[in-house]
Amino acid sequence: MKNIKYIIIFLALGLVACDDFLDRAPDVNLDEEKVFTNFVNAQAFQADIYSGLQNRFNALGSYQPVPLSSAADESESYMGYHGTKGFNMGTYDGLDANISHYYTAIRKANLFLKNVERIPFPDEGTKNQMVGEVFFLRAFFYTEIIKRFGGMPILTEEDLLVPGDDLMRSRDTYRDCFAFIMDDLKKAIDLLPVTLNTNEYGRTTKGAAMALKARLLLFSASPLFSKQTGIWGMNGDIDNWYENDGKSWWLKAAEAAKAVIDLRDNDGNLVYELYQTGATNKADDYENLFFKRREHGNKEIIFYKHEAPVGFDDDQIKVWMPSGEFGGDGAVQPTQNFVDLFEMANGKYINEAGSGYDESNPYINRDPRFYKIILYQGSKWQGATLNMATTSTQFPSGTFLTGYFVRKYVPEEVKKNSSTTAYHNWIYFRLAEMYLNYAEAMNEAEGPTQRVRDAVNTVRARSGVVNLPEALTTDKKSMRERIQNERAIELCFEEHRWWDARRWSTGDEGELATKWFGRPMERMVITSNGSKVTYSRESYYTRIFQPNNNLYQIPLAEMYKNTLLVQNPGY
Amino acid sequence: MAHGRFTLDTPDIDWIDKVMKKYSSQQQYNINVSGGTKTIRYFVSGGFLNQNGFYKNDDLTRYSRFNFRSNLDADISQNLSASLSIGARVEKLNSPNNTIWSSWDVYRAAFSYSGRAYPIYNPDGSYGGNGSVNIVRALNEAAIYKDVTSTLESSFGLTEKLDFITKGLTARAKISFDTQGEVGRSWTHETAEYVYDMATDTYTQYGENRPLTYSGVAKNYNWYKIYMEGGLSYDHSFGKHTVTGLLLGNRNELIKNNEVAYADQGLVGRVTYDYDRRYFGEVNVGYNGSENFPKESRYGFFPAFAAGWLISEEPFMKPLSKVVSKLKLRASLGWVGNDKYTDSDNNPVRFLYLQEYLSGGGATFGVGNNYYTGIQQGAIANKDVSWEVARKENIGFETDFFNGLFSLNFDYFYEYRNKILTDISAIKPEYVGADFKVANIGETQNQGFEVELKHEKKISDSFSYYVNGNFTFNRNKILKKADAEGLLPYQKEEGYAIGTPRMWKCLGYFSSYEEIQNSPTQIGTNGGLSGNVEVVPGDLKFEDFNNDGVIDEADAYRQGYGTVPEIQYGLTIGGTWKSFDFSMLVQGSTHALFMKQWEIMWAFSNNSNVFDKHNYYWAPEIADNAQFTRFYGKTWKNNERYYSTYEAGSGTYVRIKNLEVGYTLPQNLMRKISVSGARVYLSSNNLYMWSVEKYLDPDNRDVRGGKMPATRAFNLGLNISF
Repeated sequence: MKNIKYIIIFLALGLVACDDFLDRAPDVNLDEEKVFTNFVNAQAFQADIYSGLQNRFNALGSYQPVPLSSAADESESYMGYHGTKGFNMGTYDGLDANISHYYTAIRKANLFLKNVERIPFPDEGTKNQMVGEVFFLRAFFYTEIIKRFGGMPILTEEDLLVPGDDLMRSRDTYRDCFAFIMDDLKKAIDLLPVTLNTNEYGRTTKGAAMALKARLLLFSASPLFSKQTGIWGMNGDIDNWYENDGKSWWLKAAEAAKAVIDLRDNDGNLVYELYQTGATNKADDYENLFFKRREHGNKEIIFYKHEAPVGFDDDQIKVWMPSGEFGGDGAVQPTQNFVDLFEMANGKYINEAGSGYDESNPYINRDPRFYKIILYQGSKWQGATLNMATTSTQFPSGTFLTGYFVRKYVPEEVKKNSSTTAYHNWIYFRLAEMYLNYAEAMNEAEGPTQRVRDAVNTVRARSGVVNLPEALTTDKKSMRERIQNERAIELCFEEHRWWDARRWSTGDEGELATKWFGRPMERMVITSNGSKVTYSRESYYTRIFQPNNNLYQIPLAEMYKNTLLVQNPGY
Repeated sequence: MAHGRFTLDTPDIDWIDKVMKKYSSQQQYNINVSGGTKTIRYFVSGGFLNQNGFYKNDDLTRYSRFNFRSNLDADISQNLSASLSIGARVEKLNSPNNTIWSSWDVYRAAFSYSGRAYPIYNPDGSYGGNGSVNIVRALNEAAIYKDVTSTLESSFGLTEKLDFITKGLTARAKISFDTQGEVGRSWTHETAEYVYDMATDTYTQYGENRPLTYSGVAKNYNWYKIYMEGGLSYDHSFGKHTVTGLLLGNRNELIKNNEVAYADQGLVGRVTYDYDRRYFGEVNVGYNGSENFPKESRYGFFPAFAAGWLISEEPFMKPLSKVVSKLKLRASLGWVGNDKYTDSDNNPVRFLYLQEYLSGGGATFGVGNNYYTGIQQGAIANKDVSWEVARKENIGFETDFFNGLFSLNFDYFYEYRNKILTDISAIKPEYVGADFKVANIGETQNQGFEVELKHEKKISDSFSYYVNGNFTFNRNKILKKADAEGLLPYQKEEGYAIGTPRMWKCLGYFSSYEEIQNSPTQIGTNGGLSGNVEVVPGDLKFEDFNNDGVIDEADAYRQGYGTVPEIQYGLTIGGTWKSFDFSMLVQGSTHALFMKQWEIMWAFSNNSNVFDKHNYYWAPEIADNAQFTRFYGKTWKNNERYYSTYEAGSGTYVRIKNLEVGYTLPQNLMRKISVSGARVYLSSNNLYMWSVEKYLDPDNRDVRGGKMPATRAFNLGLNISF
């Protein structure tokens, strides 16, 4: 009988001391509570939202990743595995879509905004700045998405989807996306400071938000987006559904750009100025502005990806650096088509009467910026003279060469086998673009008036380029072409032409993107015997670009997941 | 292609021949001693195994194992008995340091590298090659990796008869402690390869020559496990009724390396009843809890029921008992649960309900370029995670005719599994902006039958034999998985067997340009297989499944078998004649499919080798007798690398798994040396295999064919008992 008692006690104890045995969950270091009720953690969370900003030197492909300029006609990355191969052949499925990347960053911004009231900010100023930054970043990420696809689903801080929710969304109209972004930018402009302390460089400012606003207005005023309806456009000219002021989209865009140019700080000084050092060769300023940051005296940069200096082995440098003896990948080679866009020193295009262009000596007397953007036959580079002739020993035999390499944005002092590093920050917005945005928009709004000319000439004068020829720019159309070409040169290799050509398409100029990106690409074949160098053009590859490629294809994998999504036309 | 025709500038090396042995040896010894008195019984066993490997480097390729076991059962008092079991083993493994994690550096390299680039030895005796292509160097100059694994298994149990409460009641308790530790130490030895230039008589060195150095501990794993159970069991017959019962509580804790402990506990109950050895019934209940789930969904209730009817014991069957010596019908229905989930790399995935935030990402700010590490939200947790459940039903019969002359067993089963933890990223749109952890949404079913036919006959006192055959068929089907909505039914995984590939159907080779023109467009850019630029005669022709005139994604459909063979069959034959005994096991399976790619399919894949079939590449002269597509060199322009039925391999095979012949030495002779029995035997494992796919073992391969194949063994052995 005694034994029964023991047995019963044993069993009972066994059953009672039970459940804690299974409480094994590890102490989670950080949970939502700990992150957002602690200022240092919240600050770290907010810093990570910045990682959604991409530097676009190596935007495409994983092996020798190249910039989008090689999908446009600015350069060639002609090697089997390069990321541009799909674009060049007209297949757009999933290339540069970045949907997951940007929406992940947007979700981080949403999560922050949802929890913002919990965060114990030390003071109102810090709170405004941090919140303003997040509004800007969210606006930036959405802009990147709609410029690729048109309207896409908008998810706000109320839409933090979790398993079990209905995940299906349909695409919002372009207008609604535009309005949402503008709303974020308005809040950002109100909250952000005009200038930053030196230990905060890299964060966004009021000027950056204003610049994004100016660019978005310019994009939305452009033919590709302004005339379309629904998911794909603004639905015609003003219906007064935005800033009910009766102004056309072009005029609104021009004014937004002007606001950036005229922005002053609390002491009344202009915040941004074109980079000019008073150098004898003014084009030197054009070259150096890409390597200097605000702390080095460059007040032209409005917003950029702030990073530490990089060295030769970084893809940012290596992919752009000439190959062969120079040790780089040489994967970004300007095309002859692009080189032909450079004016002569007298301001005329090479095919205009009286230009003075000499095909047998094509590189003399060109636009001063030419010598700072392009490395051509005979250029001095890293202590050597560039020789791309067929007999040259600088490159392994059989290397494909267009006859050019990129000089712009490539720091000459960073050489192979050296540990030298240089500042190499990708620029999102700089003042020169704002001038050109203003000129383009104002030209569309009122024709080639003096203020339009002044804006373009200010940019040209900085690099020592002559003013626009007055006789050749007497009407809106001819001025428009000249401004388009000015953008092609001034903003080359900064990922503008790829997007500009598309937004100008379906307008009065026709399908510019198809015309420029879907044609035979040309290179310069250089032969030399002794001291005589001969140049002959050769068309080596015909790229494919159809009008429906003005907008990217929504990746097929996405379409399968969500039957509510509408694919862009033609795919 | 003649191998071995080998000169300095035109090497032709058969790597497999150079680094792999055709035969290797192993030896194994085992001794068991058992005995005891009425109150204490013991069993002690010890063994030793030594195995040489197949790499041509004996010092570096060896496995040996010592094992020991001791079981002790003691009756401590009239009602109380105890048992103690201790087992231990130590395993030592030597292998080349470049094969610690996989066989890629030696075995896989040996069959996939071409031996035509560099000689094994240069004129001056140095190793030929341009970095890491000389496999003889890789093996001969490899350093050693020494791995020692020690395992201990121990358990102690007590049983107390509680007949004084009620007859047949027993209380039992058991505790077991198991542990294992593995430490692998590695040395490294780098050697260079040299390229000899005949024209200039110079050598270029690739790589470094470094002396043999100890590089540290490569593997260091340990775990220990404590298991406890306690409960009551009951076993009593009264009259024609026999009742047994069991109530057991158990608790298990596993600590692995420095991971969070695995724990589970539960209650098991069972009651069985049989009446007159004719009617059987059984009820099982399991109530299990796991540490892997949140408190609310931690426990699962899993019952099972079974019933049987031994018809042959019925009075009305007695007249037939000479013919039908046994006829039994049985059926069962039960549920079980699973709480262990692993991802595609076989790593355990735990605590899915916890939402974590982790350090990661960040940004650089300030003129000092300070990096500010960020904090990121981890994958979105699954708050409702719980047990996966399987429900299994089966029904069958067992028969025996003429007292064992023939017997036939048949079993049909149906299994339905649901709440399977499934990756749902395929239905999660990208604009969600975060990863989701797995969810309990998967459902599968599996059904089939098993047939067993046995025949046994004793022809005389000295000759008897038996033949057993079995045949199993099962077909599984995915009922629910995370299939994207927009996929067409023939593209989804739902509705097909697990592992059924989605691929184009290959109709053969294009024989002419006209045929290409008249066939649906297969060329790339908008409208065809992207990246596929040119299609020429000799390329594969794919079926336009949806008849839209274009070969693209929409023409790839699920077809063929899954990865689990639907049919398995086996045959055992054996017998004794005088003092000889003989047995053979043949088994095989069919109705399975696997994909072949890379080194076992494509010519020159990864700069590698070619197979015989690549010599018969398509050319107009041999057309349909071609064994491979038209040749294309190294670029990716052709279309034979797309997932299509051309790459699907059949999993059908038949294998003689075991064959053994033994001879029992005469008893009277043996008694003279106090041996109570001795038998000598000769056996073979994996004697012969025939398979549809010539190059691979369907049971043991990956899509690149790189796993070490199963070995064929011949054993000569001796059993002696005293």
